[in-house]
Amino acid sequence: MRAVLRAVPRGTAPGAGRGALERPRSEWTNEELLKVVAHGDDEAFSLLYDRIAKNVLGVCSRVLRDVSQAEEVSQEVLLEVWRNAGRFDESRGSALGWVLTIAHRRAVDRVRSAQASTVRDVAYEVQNERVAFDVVAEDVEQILERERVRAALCSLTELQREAVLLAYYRGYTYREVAEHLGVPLGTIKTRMRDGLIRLRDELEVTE
Amino acid sequence: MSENLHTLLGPYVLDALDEPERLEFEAHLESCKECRVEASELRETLTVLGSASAIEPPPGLKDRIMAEVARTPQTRPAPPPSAEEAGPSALSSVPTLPTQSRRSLASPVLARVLSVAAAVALLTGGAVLLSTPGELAPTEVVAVSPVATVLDAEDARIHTVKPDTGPAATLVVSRSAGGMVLIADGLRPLPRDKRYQVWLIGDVGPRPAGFADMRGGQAVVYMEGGSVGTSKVGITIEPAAGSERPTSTPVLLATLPL
Repeated sequence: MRAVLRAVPRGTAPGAGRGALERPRSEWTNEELLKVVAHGDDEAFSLLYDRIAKNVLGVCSRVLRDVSQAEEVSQEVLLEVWRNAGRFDESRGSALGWVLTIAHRRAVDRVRSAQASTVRDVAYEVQNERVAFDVVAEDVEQILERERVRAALCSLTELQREAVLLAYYRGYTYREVAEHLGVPLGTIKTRMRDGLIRLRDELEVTE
Repeated sequence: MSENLHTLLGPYVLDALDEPERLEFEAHLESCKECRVEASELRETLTVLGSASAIEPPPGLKDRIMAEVARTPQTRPAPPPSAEEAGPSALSSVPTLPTQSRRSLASPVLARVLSVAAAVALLTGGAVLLSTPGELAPTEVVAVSPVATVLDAEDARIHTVKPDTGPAATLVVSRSAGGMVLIADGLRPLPRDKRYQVWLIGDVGPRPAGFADMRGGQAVVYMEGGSVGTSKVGITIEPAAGSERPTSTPVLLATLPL
């Protein structure tokens, strides 16, 4: 290995005081990318897509449990992100949080509109659940992250966990959750909130 | 009233309210800072939960969406938030360029080459790419790696690598420096006990070609010699000590453009 030696004078180190525009875009945060997407920058959108599309598709697949519908809704969601990027408000949370909020709501909308004609088949859902996990099990970091989430979910009471997951993963309204679990409405509302707070605290602790 | 509405916060962030209740709660949110803060925190929690289910999208999806993007107009940004909400923004220093001048810079190929060119400029300017910026002592002498030598070489040639799987990458080849440098974007940071290992793949199968260093979201790897007898380059995640043969599915696999 040949190595050339060079002296580096103080103050010339690259990076000192550079703004976002001078850093390569691959180093920009999602929030920085989204801000320029809002001004019609499709290259920034392409970079953002590479980072977040898998999360969008993941959330849609969870709720819709159907590959082609999940892709269809994901496409709608990502286009909505493009169209409405200017509405993203950094003071209210992360860019990924904003995007996944849209994804979840659109997926839930789709599930509810389709509900009248669809009978939920538990066996089918369980089967799909397994498939969904197989598909993603290739990325080390993600496997670790999923373990962390699983552990946090295990710290909830059974009622908290069911209330949160039936709503988040299946798109049930809290009334449907209450009915499904045979628990009063007020209890379900409370369990959803304190379950999420517990989850927030658990995920923070191990971060 | 506020007390009652407050109890809807859990169902609200879970999208578990009926439409009328959702509208009612959103009206409440506008006037209740406490609920806004909690809703935003719990949303971030759900973002972690949702991200744990991430699924790699099929390649065609991006093409379809980018085609739609090209012909989909954007809505105007909402009016600026109220004074109460407008905290100091990390982005206040980013000038917003008019769409037209941005678009003229928007060629991904150009951006990629520029990013390599920028790296070369940094190197020839006496600064060092492969050390953490800002941490150098005044008279510290820094070894310029073989990566720098390749990027610095006069005969360095830049190729865009079209991957079979994984992110797009740039390959810089220099005959005079006797090696190649592969720069890949979009690889995630790994836990300490794992590394990205690079393989050159030819008729005799994959042979190890070093490890990629993660630098600011880019994986950078130097490979000694040329690509004679090899047709593909691959990157896999391996134990930190390295493997003799790939033991996982490549995160990047590309045909060499030579």
